[in-house]
Amino acid sequence: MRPLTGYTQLANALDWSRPPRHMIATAYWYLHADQYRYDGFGADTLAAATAGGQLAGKTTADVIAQSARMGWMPSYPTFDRNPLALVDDAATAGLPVAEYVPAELKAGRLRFACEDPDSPENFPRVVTVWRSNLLGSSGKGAEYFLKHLLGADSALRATEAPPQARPRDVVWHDEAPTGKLDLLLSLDFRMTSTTLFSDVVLPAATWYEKHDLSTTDMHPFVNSFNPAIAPPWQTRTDFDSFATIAKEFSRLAAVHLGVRQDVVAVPLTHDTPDEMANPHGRVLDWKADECEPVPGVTMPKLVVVERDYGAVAAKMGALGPLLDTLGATTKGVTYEVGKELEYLRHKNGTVRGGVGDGRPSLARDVHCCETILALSGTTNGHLSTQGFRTLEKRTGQPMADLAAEHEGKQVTFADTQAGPVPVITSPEWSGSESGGRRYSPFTINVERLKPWHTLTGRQHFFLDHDWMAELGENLPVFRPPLNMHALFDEPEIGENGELGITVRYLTPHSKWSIHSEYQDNLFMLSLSRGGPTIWMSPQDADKVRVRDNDWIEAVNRNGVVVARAIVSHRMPEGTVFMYHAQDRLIDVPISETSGKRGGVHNSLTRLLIKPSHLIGGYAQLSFAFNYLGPTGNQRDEVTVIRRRSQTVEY
Amino acid sequence: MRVMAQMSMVMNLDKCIGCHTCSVTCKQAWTNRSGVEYVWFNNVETRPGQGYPRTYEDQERWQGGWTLNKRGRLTLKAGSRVRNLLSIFSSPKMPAITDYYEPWTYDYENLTSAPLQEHVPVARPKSLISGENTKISWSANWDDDLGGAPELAPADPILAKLSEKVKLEFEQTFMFYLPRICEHCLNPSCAASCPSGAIYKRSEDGIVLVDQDRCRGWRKCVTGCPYKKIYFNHRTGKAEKCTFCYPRIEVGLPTICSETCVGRLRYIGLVLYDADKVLDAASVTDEHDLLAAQRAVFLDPDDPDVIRAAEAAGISRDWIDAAQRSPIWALINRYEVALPLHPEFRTMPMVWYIPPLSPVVDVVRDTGVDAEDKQTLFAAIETLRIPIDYLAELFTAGDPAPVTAVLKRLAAMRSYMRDINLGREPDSAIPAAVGMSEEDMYDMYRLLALAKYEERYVIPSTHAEQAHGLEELATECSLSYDGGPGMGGDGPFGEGSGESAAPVSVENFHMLKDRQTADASTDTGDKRGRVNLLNWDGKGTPAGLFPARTPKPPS
Repeated sequence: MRPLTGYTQLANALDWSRPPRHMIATAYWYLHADQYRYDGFGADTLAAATAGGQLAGKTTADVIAQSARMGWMPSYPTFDRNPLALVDDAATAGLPVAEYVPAELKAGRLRFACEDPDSPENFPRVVTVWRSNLLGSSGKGAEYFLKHLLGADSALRATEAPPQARPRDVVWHDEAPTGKLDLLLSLDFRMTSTTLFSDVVLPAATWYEKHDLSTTDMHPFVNSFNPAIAPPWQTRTDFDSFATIAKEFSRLAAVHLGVRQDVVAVPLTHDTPDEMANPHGRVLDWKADECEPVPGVTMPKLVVVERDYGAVAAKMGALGPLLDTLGATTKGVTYEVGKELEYLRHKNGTVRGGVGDGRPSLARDVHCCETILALSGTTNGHLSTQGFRTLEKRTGQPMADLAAEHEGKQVTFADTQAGPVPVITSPEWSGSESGGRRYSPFTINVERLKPWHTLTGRQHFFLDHDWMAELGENLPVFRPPLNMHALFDEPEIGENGELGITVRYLTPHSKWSIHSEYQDNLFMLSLSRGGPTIWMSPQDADKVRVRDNDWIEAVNRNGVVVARAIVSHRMPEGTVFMYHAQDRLIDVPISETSGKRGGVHNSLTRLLIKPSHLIGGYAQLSFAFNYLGPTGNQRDEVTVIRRRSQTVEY
Repeated sequence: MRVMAQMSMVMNLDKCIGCHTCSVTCKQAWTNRSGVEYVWFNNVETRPGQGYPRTYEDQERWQGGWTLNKRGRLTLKAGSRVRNLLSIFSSPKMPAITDYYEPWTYDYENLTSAPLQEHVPVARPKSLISGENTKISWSANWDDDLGGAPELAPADPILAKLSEKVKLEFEQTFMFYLPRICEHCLNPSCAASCPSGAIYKRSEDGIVLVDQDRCRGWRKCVTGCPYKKIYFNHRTGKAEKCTFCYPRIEVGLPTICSETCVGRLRYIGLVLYDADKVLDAASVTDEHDLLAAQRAVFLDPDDPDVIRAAEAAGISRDWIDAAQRSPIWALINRYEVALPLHPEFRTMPMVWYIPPLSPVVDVVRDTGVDAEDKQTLFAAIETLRIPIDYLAELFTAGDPAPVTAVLKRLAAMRSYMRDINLGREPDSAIPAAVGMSEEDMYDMYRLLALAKYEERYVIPSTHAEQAHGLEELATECSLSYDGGPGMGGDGPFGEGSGESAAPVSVENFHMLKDRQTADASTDTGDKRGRVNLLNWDGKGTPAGLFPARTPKPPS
């Protein structure tokens, strides 16, 4: 995301409304797909011998709830009451929201939704999947998704945690809910494992049928997408689809919702004074009466935002007024963009009438591209030098010269259509491209002595946070893979019993694709083995009498996969690979074990969350969207593999 | 001296990441048609491995290429031309479809049209040959990344030749990728095998093509080509092959496989050669002398005598200039780092390879020592017999000396440039140790490592005054040829391509348009009506799948 600032304004509608509502997907799916119900071990399992007991007796769900209520990480849905109603309730009580909500929380009349995720008012009801293949690629614990979110058939075999191992602060319902979702909506140009399960699929235009920008932090260029042909049949560009939905939504919402006040609970945020909320990394939980619930200090900030639901489409089509007064902020540097707004009024034209009257137009996809380019330092030399001058004042170090060669340069969409455009060195990123240099991160920190965004301003390894001390990870340490035998009662690695050989199960990206798209066409399938495969070592294959291209089944508590074996001496004994995102719709037979269609690579995985990833509100350990938050585990899972009947049914 | 110009390619194997973008874009451009579903003009093989088609390098089995007869004369391995002609009706020695692979598609339709049922729908594989459900058991790249190697790699004809037994064990693994197209040989055995004279080598640029009008489908060329880069179109009954993307080359553009190569490992340029010397060079007795013999056939484009002779032969000034700037000439003869693929087939191939240093570097790195240190690398090149011998069987008829020399130059380049990149004093002893000057070493680095587009591809356009001869430049109405759209016909292209000759510019335009906009297979009107099996979902029997049955005459 090289043009980061402009992208952030549009993606989060910061020009009309701040703050946005963000979520950490890892914890979201962990709770709402009910994966937490199957975790039988505590958050203190990895605690060090010297631990003080801060995590003792807690489950992962408990520490997720704790992290949310202390304002470390976001949570969604946030409260067990509609946040629109919450503002009304505060008004009825005659209190400001920032006083009413903490009081209600403390009294126990209001709770965080993540403290009772299986209560119907806290279910997610509508999920829109855009630019993702949730059920075939990214969603760890695919069978949990199928069972609990979709209510579909699943091959989930895990047993729930026994009573003594259940969450302490999070409510346990005896009957686990299934089929929480009312609607699964997908936008895609391919048939995927996700569209297969969607209630509604909106056919999407591909890269060669629409205008768009493509950038990454992996290379220093901004590229454009341009339609070689118009979107065929009923497909639409993503922009068209969302603009259409917005218009229809606004028409209905003007009648049914009107203008409302909404309260957004904002976590303690990176590159803001929130980073100082937990001095010395001491953990104080207001719910344990260790402190008072103070928004922005010991709990999330509470910000009331006006929602004009009937104006959503009009706002989407116009660049909003908050940029005039608040500017645009990235990584602690605020850009004054008055000149850019004037430029965009001429470039895109202005909106006539409605809430966006006189504002720069965002009526077309290309307008959005121009706006992103104009509002980012990497593509607008005026902003990059402005940002560096801000940093010069803050640090006393010369920096504006890094972008000076491009101060008058404004990259336009037409420039990107002519060819990939190299970006301008900008404070949005830490490397320098000045004078045609290749990007390398942190060169500005090293060469221009710009402080690192850490507690000390230096490269920072020692973490004196309470929870890091609990885990014995004040300094980086080696952690062996989790012992799944001890934690989940899976067989031990190398155990070769009646059911098959137990091996470590990894799901790396294949050389042909990061996710599912590129391998899933007839040409690429003809250049490989044309369906789901699992790579295994000759030693393991011998033990269960598997030959190359035999049908095998991989089974663990999370689910079942049917695939063909690729036996290769490139695999070490005791480990198998199932390359990421081989969709379940190509040549997947019925499993002998489950009697259901064999799964995807994520049918054998699930989320496990490390408590230290949930730390927030402490210097560099503070939440920022797509920047700092918990990840799923990658290298711990095990599975049993056996040769199955070579006659397969579909 | 008879000077001719040859358009040639060099591939730098250290840069190949096995992504197959070349294969896919080539197939999309050239063989995305009925009758050639199984055909990949460009393929990428993992080596060690069997290759595509299986074990094609084993000429004792496949009888491709040339050999020396008892009198030391060059003769086709499959037998003399006379013998070939006499045996014309017997089935030729050629790989079966199972040696390539049985192409398949999936029952995609089921994903959208399956009725309400217990299980989520799935797209089963269906054979494109029989139309029946199938278990996929071989593909155009089955043993990718050594998949199945314990069982499959022992059949690699190259491994079988190695004196030292290769252990197929974890942590003793070596592999690399070998991208292949037609070699556009100076002494093409396919052309010599053709009873109809349908295969010709263009005098302008040496590209080897099949005249679709003259091909009678004898398939002797499939046997004759030792690289198995001529394919039989089972729909038209004619031979097809890599065209070196001549419509692009003619206008100065690189081939599709080169243009889209992610690793930027391909080089295209001219080589001037002496056509009078080819036969002698291909006939040298000792196979180890073939590399030097072929290099000696190439003419120094800066030599005034060569320039004079080239001009006399009608080679234009800009082509001579392009030959002087040619990356191919530089890599083969100036830096001597490129080697031919299987010179022992004696076809004088013109797609050459820079052998990969990475199998050696990987081993060195895995031992934990500095893999760019000159002494370490040189020592490793001397001692690592297996990768060196394997490369030698591919590129030098088994002679390890030229491979070792190339790898040393590549190793020296790494060491020399590292000093420069780290701001240290460059060490002139390093290039000297491999017989190069510092300037040459830097130039070689520029060509191999920086590899700028305009230096990788030095392709002179065909001359406008020859355009009508080549029917590429549409100076008249390009649609107005016999049977063309401009003459009221619907054009013979798209599905029916290969039926008759036509201006290439027209073919490209209409072929693309028809394919991209049609729901059904294009051009189904008349006898040319046919089905593209790659787009077939496996359901039913579309019209045109089988030829119409002619009613039996009453007896």
